[in-house]
Amino acid sequence: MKAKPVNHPAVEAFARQLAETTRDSVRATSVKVIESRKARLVDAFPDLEATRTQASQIKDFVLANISNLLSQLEMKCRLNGVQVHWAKDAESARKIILDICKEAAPDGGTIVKAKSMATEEIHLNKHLIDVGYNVVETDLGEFVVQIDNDTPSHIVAPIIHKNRREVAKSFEREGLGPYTESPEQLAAQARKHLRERFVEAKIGISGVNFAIAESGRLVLVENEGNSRLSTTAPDTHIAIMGLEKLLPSEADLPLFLKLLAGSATGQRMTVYTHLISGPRRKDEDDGPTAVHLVILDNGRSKVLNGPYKDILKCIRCGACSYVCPVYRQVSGHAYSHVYSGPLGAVLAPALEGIEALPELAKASTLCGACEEVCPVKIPIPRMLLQLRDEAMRKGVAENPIPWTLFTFGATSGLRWRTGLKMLPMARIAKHPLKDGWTEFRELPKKEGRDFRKWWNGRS
Amino acid sequence: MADRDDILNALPQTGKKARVPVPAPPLPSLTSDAMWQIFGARLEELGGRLGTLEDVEVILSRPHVIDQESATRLGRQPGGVPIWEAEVGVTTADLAVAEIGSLLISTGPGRPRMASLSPVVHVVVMPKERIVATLEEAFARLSDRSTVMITGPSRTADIEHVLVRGVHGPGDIVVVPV
Repeated sequence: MKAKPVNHPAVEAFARQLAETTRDSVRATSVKVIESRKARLVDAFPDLEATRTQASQIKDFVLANISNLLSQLEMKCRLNGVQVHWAKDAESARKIILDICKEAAPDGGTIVKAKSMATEEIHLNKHLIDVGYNVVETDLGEFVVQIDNDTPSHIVAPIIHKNRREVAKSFEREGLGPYTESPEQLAAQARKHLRERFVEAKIGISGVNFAIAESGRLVLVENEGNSRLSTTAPDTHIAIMGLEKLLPSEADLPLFLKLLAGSATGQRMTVYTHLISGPRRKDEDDGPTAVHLVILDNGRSKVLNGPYKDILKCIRCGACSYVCPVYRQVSGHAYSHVYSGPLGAVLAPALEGIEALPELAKASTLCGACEEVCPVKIPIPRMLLQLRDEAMRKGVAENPIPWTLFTFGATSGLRWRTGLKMLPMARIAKHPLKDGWTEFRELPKKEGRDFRKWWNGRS
Repeated sequence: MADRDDILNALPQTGKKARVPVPAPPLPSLTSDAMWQIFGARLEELGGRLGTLEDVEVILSRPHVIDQESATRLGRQPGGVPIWEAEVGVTTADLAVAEIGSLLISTGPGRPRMASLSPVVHVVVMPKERIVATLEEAFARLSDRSTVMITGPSRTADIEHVLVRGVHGPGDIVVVPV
């Protein structure tokens, strides 16, 4: 008899069924990014350790003062001409956004979208498409995800699980151009197709990387230019942010921009850093005439009052996924939530409640690599242990039988001592704990003296 | 607005944890020439390049738009073809940042945002004195208008982590110090 695999999400089952090509592309990219990332950060920061501590402390300050900082952000945004909305949950956020869309484009039409995890979290696209809008993801990876009816498998590299041949087949199927295995030509096909969507769109929707409380400035970073086009070409720009994405002042930006670029992709700086100070002013030539900011709670205020609040320091660089031995084997979809990898294994159950995702925290070896690379030093392994503990205490997680037996034996002195005496018999007996383990290995022989006897007998 | 009060009331009200000041990194004292040299090297690493006024004349044989300030400097008319048809956009910039090869461009009268974004080639006519060594110095002098910081050509690595330039924004950047 074997221990049952974890049942939800079926991480083990998923890993077994994973196509080899998927596993290869996930692993190869992860290794490449982690190498360039390390070289870049060491080069950019003479004392990387001190820099991470500094960034971590600034995020601690944000979380400790979040209510005041949000009020300040709201006031500054209003002064800048940005319309601020508050959404306590996904449904409320979708309604706010739908109302804005109905006013800006009552007859439907194209909505261009920049990559945003917050919109994935509230499943925005489906709802806008259901009422008749043509919602188009414009980030190259997210565009592929959308036409394939797939979901992103990494928060920074959404199609890390696909190779160029799969992308080429999808583009050919959608009529973007002839089959080609050249990434340059594939990108050119996407550029041409998506450019027409930018020209016709009346509304652009984006996330927010950092919102500056002191100035009300919304900061968006990206490499392709699709986020700038989405927030510049249409008349209406809607930005949605998780309420923790704050920085106190603009003086904090250089540090965080360098850390984010280095951690996420190993770049010195992301190509486009867009600092949005509100809608087009009267004397300006272009840009949206209306800018909306939706501040999303959706479980975050609850997390901030609990033991997992530090996970909200996350700046979404994705480094913890690239470095995680489990993520590299199973890819992002195994986590069965929009937030994948070590970050997701904490954030998802923290937001949704442990009852909804009781087994996710087990998808980790607790090797600690995630905490080592985290630019804001989030203690992910500690929180994974806390989540496992919470799941057991609430009786929502399944305890594999060998561990149940172990717990039974290890929680009583008498049972433990009896067990130790019987241990040598395990070498000859056929019993459930050995199955699998002894297929390729020998159980060790008992050697030398007995520690307990020695301890009790010493003078 | 019911949501607003619900959210603000639900948030922890711990507050008043002291703000950690970010110590300003020591400012390198570099000559303008030295900064331009670093900037040029960084820009080249990113896939852009420094150019001359002669280069600009050649590039401008393609359909283009020019912002007001660079038009004045080049002795040409501002404006040009409709923006979506422009293959070349010529703009000026507020500041160049030597350490990372970035350009800060704010909006304003005669400074369309799209000129640095939708064409395939972006030419930056850059007065030599507008350069600083570090990002910290540059951000201390930010305009209060919407601003973009551009660090090299548009790029993606979404397909098999292979670098491709010019996916949505310009794939070529030519910076011309004047």
